[in-house]
Amino acid sequence: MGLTVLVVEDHVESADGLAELLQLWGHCAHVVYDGESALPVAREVRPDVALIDIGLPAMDGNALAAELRALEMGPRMLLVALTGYRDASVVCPEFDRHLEKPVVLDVLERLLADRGAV
Amino acid sequence: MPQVDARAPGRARSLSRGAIGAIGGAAILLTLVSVAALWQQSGAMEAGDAARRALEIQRQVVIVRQHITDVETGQRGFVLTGERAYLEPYDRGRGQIPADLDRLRRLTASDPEQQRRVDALAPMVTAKLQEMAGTVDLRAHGDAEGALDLVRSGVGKDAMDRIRADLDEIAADARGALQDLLDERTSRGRRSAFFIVLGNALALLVVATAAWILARLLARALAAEARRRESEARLYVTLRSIGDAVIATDHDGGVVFMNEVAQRLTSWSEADARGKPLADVFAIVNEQTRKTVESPVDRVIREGKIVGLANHTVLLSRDGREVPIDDSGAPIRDADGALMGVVLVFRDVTERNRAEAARRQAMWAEAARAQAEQANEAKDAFLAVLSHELRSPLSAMLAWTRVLERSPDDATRRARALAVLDHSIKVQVNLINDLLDVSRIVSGKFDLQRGPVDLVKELAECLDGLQPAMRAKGLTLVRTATVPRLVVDGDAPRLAQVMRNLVDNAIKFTPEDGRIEVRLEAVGGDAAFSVADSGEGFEPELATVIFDRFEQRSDPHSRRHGGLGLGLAIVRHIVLEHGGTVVASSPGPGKGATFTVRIPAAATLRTAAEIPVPDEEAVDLHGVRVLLVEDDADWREAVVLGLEERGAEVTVAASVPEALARFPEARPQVVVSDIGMPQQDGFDLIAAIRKLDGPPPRIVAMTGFADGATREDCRRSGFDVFLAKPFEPGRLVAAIGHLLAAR
Repeated sequence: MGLTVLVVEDHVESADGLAELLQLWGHCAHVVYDGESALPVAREVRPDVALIDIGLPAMDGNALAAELRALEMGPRMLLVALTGYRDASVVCPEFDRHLEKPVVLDVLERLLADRGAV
Repeated sequence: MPQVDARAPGRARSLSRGAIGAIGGAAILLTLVSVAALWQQSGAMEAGDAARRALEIQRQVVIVRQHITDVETGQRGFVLTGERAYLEPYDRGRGQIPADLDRLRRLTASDPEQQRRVDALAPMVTAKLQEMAGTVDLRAHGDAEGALDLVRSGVGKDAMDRIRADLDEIAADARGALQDLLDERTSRGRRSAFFIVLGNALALLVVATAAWILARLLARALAAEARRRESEARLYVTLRSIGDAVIATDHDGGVVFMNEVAQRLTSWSEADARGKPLADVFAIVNEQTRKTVESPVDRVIREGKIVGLANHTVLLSRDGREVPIDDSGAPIRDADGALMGVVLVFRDVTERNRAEAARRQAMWAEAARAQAEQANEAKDAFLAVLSHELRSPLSAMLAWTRVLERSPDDATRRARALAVLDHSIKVQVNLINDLLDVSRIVSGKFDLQRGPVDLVKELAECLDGLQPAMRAKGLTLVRTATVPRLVVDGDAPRLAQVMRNLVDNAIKFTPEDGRIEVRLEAVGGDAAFSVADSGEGFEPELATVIFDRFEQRSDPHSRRHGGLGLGLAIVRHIVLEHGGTVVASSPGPGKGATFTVRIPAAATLRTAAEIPVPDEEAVDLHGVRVLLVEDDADWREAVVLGLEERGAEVTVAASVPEALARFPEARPQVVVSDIGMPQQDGFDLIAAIRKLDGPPPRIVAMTGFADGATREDCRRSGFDVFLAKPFEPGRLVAAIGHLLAAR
């Protein structure tokens, strides 16, 4: 069963590549390139999963995560942080998972598959 | 103590001078008093003689009167009686009277008044005697009556009365004189006694004073002697126990004294050394050249003033040891200032040298640590950016590779995937190249391979390579090259990198359909290259900051364009290493930016990177005179230590006026000057030095203002080498060695 996934990433080529791959894995992918654009899109598409880059310009990933959790469907949303750091302390507790970039794609695929099976 | 010793003899001298004066005066006074006493004494004696004479006169008057009375008595008796017996006293008296009168005349010889009386007496006596003789004759011839008549006539009685009156006068006069003389004798005797007493008192006083002065002089002499002995003993003990080595010589330089430390350091015993020339006992050579250093004692004897030893002096001890020493010699002078000898004080500086080396080490270590700390902070921030910038293309590459795997036949996806891969790899390559460049810059290994470079040709190649990127954004390129060839002395690939980075930057920050103008021209002796765009521009106050390493604008679009922010830092470094300048300007955000590079056609200003650092130990600066001008005391000290370690003779000055004042004596071959100093700066210094006579020194600029403008000013002002602070001491040593070798 496919999931609705929101990708929030300022590096365009990475974001686009990830969206293509999500579609190939059978999910519905939505891409935004900054934090501010993520909220209206999230309200509209009501994603099951949000993959969020922490180091975003202006509104960063941690701030965005808090906003997403506050939405109506926020508590049910799987929030995954994508960071350049191994150190998890830079990631706020709102996140359910923390993946280090570059993301090991098999891990991400399994993570989403498990979520879809629930 | 020396003051006391110097003063005491003077005081004693003045004391004895005073004593002599007092005693001399007293002696004169005593003589006068004695003369007065003698004079009074002889006056008293004369008065006594005169009194005796006056007494004699009185007695003689009585005798004369008696004899005349005797004669008269005899005459009367005979006249009355006719008895012959009466004639016997008469005759005897007559015989005595002339002698009596003579005696009286002699006695009164000194008094004219009395003389006159005696002279008047004589005829009266003669007349009386004749009158009496007449009566006696008459009586003897029997005429008793006639004789009696004569007697009765009273003639004889009148004469006799006159004689008596005259004699009474003489006697009275003598009596009066006697009283006066006795009074005079008494008073003269008293005065004489007074003078004698006075003289005795004076003599007593003189003797007492002399005795007191002698006692004081003796006491002083004893005290001075005691002090002298004590001070001598203390001096001796002091010299013996002083922590430094002490050798004293006589005025010919022969050793007369050595303390224990001196004996230990030289391995000469005092007994052996005594009388030997100092050069035998105190053999010193220069640490590096091994040449004998002139004995400081000879210099002291020649110059007559205190002298210090040159640095790096080694004492060769008698048993073959070598001891690095530090010493000074000073003349020993006697109270009149004549040279008696020389005292030489020296010490073993092995420990101090070691401590100094350690301190120098610590100083550099501390400077390095502070620098490292600062660099570390910048590095941490940079690493965060680097991590992001390296991982982002990797993420893209991994994702699109997986997409290619999953749907190899989707032509659209494949084309996008390949484009992303190609672009991401290029981005990575550029990032890695920039990193390597920065790494070289940081580690000081960014070396230029110089040669003639035609900038016109390099620019054409650069623009050709960037055409696709410009076309992709629809940018208009306007290029202006005013000359067919523009050759500078430089590193061709590096200068091409400068052009590429600047044009690339313009492409990156200029929105689509924008405009980029590139100009290359010869201005003065420089090649001027500029890139102007219609892009985003920047706040004017950021004009210098944007060149800083790791400096990334924190606003969103810098991230949108990606990159490490190293490009401009690398550009600046390359340009500065070429002795050139790079300046950025913008009227403000959104109004475009212009970058202008100037490269001197023939650079004369060398930078640290252009001078290879050889094995530092190989650079020998012995005999090289350096004038160091630096207002920062810590830097001054650090640089002095670094230079002196290599043997340079460094004269230091903390300001430009001080440097100019010391210049004639220092006669520097190399001047190392700070640029930014209060009042007068390094440019004022170089301008002043250029006006001086004599061979011009090579001049090294060192400054914390490592910006292009300062470097350009240094080049124009004629500095030979430009060092950006902080630098390793080896850099400066190498630069000086290089400058002198090139001469």
